[in-house]
Amino acid sequence: MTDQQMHERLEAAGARWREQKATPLIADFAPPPRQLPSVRAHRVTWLVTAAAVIAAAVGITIPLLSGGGTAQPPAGDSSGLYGVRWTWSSSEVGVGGSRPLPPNFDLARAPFLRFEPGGRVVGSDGCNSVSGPARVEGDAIIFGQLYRSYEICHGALWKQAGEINGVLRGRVTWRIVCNVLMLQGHTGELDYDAPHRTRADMECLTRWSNKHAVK
Amino acid sequence: MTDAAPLTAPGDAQAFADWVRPSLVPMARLAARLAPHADPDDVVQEALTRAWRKRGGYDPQRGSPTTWLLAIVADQARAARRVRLRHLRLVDEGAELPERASPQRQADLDLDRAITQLGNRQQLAVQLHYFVGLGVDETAAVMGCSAGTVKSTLFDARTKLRRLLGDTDD
Repeated sequence: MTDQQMHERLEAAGARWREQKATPLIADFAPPPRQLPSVRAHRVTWLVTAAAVIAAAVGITIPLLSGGGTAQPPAGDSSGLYGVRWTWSSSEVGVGGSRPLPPNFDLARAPFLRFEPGGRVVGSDGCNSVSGPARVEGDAIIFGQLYRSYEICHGALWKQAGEINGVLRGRVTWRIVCNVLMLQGHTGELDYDAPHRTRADMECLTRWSNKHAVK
Repeated sequence: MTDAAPLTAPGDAQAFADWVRPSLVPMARLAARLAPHADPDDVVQEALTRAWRKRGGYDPQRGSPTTWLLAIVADQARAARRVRLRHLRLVDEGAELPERASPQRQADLDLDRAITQLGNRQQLAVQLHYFVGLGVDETAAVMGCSAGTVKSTLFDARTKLRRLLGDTDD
């Protein structure tokens, strides 16, 4: 093989590879806020990234130039909670929390929750379907016994499902910030994104995290 | 792949996001090539975070935004590789098994394996030029050297690849 032939082989291999691969899932970039405490900063960076990644993966177009903040329901108003497919974006469970979107994570199976005004919740923990009673009382959701399908998952998926199920027990406080549903249970915190996240939501979240950073 | 180079990297978050957007595809390509066992989006995200922090150091005299960002990705991918080496390498169940691959795919896999045996600078030059698709001048800007050095590095890399693949013309 001559040098020219090697050059041509590399060019052809490169062209084939570019055709098949490397369309980035990162749809956008939200710069990290300054001087955030490490855990919170890490989590918020991932929260914003996860939102963009999920949005890109499910084909949601993020309006890049949308303006203004995102109106939030007042505390205790649960109207914004119901009927929305809340898609999991991160967990903070145990020391240091856990990293959202583990490698090779199947986005089609992303955990989600949908609350119904009748006091029920349906969804998925990323491994099994879940459903059961979930009654809203002010800033708390009281989860009853949730029923799950019986699939076995392995590795990161299993760990993630266990963390989610650990939080969704008993009394869990909730709030919606910048179109992110934040659930704080006894064992940790889960964040779920509303569909159709916008750039304004991400900027709102960054501002919020700056205000509420854990010192 | 030419960018209209502004005088500085934007300090405003929205402007910075707009500024990096045209570079995301080449950044993801380079990350995927240099750190194939890491999540390319992780590498790109870390590189973007570093770029945001270092944005005051961008010098348009030394290259376009894309070449500056690719240099950061290259550093970040090296770090990801080092982390990877410290951990047990897991079998990728989704990986295409060589015996199942087409002859063309098999040849590309052989080529990929050979490329990993090149030195760091040769690998970087090959990945940037042939797989990310940069020209020689842009490759030189990312690598911080002259176009002539890139050409000779690529020549040396091709020579070594021919030897590694068992093909020579002599």
